[in-house]
Amino acid sequence: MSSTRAHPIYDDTDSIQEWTMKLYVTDWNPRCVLAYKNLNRICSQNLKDRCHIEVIDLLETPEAARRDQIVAIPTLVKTSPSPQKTMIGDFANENKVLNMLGLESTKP
Amino acid sequence: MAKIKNVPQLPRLLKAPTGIQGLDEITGGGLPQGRPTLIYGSAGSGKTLISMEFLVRGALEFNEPGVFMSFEETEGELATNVASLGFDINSLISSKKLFIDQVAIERSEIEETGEYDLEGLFVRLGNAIDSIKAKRVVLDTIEVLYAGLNNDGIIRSELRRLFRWLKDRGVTTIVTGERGGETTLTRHELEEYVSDCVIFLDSRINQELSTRRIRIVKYRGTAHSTNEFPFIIDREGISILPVTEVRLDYPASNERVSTGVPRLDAMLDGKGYMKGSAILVSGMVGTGKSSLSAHLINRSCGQGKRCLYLAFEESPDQIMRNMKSIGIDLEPWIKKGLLHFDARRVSEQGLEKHLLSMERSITKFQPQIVVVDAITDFTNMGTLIEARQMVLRLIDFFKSREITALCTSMSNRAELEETGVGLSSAFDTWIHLSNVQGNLERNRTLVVIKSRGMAHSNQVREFVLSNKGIEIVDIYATPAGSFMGTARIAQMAADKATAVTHQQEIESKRRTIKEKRRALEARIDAMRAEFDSETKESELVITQEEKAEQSINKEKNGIAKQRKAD
Repeated sequence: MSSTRAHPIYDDTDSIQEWTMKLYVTDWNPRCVLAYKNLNRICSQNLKDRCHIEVIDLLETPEAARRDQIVAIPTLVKTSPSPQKTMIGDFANENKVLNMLGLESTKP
Repeated sequence: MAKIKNVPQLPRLLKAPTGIQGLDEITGGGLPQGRPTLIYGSAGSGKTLISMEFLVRGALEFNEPGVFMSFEETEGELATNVASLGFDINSLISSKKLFIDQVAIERSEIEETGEYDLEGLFVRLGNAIDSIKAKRVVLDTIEVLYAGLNNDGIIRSELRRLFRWLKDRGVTTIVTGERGGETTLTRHELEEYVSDCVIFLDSRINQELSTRRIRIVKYRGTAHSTNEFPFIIDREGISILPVTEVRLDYPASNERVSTGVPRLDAMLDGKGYMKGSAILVSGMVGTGKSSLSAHLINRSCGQGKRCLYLAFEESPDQIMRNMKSIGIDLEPWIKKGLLHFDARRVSEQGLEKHLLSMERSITKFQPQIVVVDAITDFTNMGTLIEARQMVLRLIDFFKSREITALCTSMSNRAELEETGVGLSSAFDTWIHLSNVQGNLERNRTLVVIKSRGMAHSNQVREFVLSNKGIEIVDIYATPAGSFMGTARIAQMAADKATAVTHQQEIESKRRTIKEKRRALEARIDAMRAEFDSETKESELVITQEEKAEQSINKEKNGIAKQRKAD
C-alpha cells in the first residue's frame, strides 16, 4: 500500500477517537496467536486505551465467516473510524498496520 | 506360461451419477465419487450451469444435498441464471437440499501483511457441508482467489490442502477453472491438484450459430471416450449428445410396413418397406417426395400406428392442404392423436439443438413411423461433415428404437444416385424420384435404387399424381420406344384404335360367314321342303294305285264267283 494514499487522520483533532476492530481467528492457530500479539503490541503502543478489539473464533461461530466474508485467517476488519478496512496476515509489518489504521507511522 | 490365479477383486471406482442427460453415458456412470473433478473452459462455456445442474439433479434425483460456493456470482444472480433452465434453487435452498455461499474477495479492499492461510474458507465450506449434510460440492471459480490475494505461494499450498480436505470429507466435488494458455489447461494450473477427472467445455461459433462441445480430457481408472460431444443448454438444462457412441447392434426386423401405394409395395418384394429401416426418398423439387411420405402416413395411421412428421420446409397446414389436393386427408389422424407434426425452420437453431429437439419429440410422442422432410435442409448449416454426422446419429436413434423412418432428400441435379447428404450407405431403402421432360411436358418417374433385405423391382416406373393419390404405372414400352405421360396415353390410344379396327374386321368376316351359312342353310331347308312335298305326292299316288289294284282284284274275284269257275 502506497503511503501517498490519503487517509483521514483523526487522532490530532479528536482525542476520544475510538478504534473498533474485529480479529477473526481459528482457535489457537499459532499464526493467529502471533497476529494477536503483534496487533496488541501495535495498538498498545499507538492507541493505548482508545481501541477495542473483538476476537471472533470462527471455530466457535462458523457462520460469522460467511456473514462477514472471511476467507483468510487471520483477518482484521477495522469498522471504525470509517472507511472500513480489511487486512490479512500476521501483522508483522507494523507500518502497514498503522497505515491501515489511519495512523502515521512513528518509525521511519 | 504361468497362469495368474486368484486375481484379487479390484475395488470398483465408485461414481456419482450427475443425472445430466448424456454426461453419465460418456463418463461411464458419472463423476468419481468422493473426489474432485475439474471442469474448465473459456468464459461462457457453461461451466457454472453444468456445475449447478450437477447439484440440482443430485439433490432432486439422488438425494444428495450440495453446496455451491460461488466466487463470482451472487446468490441472486445464480438463482436468476439457472431459473432459465427450469431449476428453482430457492425452494431447494429452503428445503435444505442446496446451500449457496458467495465468496466475495476484492483485492483493492484487502491489505496483506505477513503470513496467512485460507482457514476461513475451510470453515465456511465445512460449516456449509455440515449444515445440510452435503454429499456434493461445487467451487465456482476458485481461481478468483488468485485475483483477490497477492501471495500465490500461499494460495497454491492452501488449494492443495483444500482438495485433500475435500477428499477426506468424501464429498464429490466439481471445481471450475478458466481455460489456460498454450502449456496449461487452466490459467492457474488447477489440473495439478485435481487428478481424477478433467472435463473440458468448448464454445465456438460456426456460421453464426454457437455450438458447444464437451470432452473428457482425463478420467483416472475409467475407460472413457476422448471424443468431443456436442451439447446444448436449453429450458431443460444441459443435454449432451453421445449418440455417436451408439453401436451397430440394433435389432433387425422382418416385419413389413406398407408404403401406402399398392404398386410400390409390389415393387418392394410385394410387401413394402422393412420395419425399423431407414428409407431415403430423393428427388428434385416437385417430384412428389412429400406425397410419397403422406401415403405412408395415411396408410400407417389407418392401421393405428403413430406417425411423427418432422417438417422443415412447410407448415403443417400447408402440407395438409397440399395432400388434400391428391386426395389424402391427414386431419382425422391428427384429431385421433395418431399423427403429430413438428415443424420448424432449420435456421432457427444449431444442428445439435435440432437433433436434440427431434429426439425429444420422438421420446415424447413414441411414434412407429417418422418422416423427416427434408433431411437435406441440414446441409445448409454447419459443415457437410457435421450434417452427415447428425444424419447418422438421427438414423442410429431411429434404428435403436425400431422406428421406420422416411427421410426426403432434395437433389440439386436431376441425375440419379445423389442423396444430397452423401450418405446412401446409412439408408436401407432408397427410392429416387425424377422429372423427365419431353414432348412439352414433365413426367415423374420412380425407381427403387436399393432396398436391403428384399428382392426389389429394377424397373423405372411412371409415377402419376392425381386427386386420387399416387398411382404407379408401367412405362409404356413398345418396339417403337418408351412412352410416358400424355405420350403414353396417346400411344396407348393409337394402339387401341388399331386394335379396334382389327377387331372390327374380324367381326365383319365372322358376320359374313354367319350370313353365308344362314343362306346355305335356308337353301338346304328349301330343297328339303321340296323333297318332302314331292315325297308326299308320290306316296299319295302310290296309295291310290294300290287301292285301284285292290278294287280290280275284288272285281276279278266277283266275276269268277259269278262264272262259278273252280
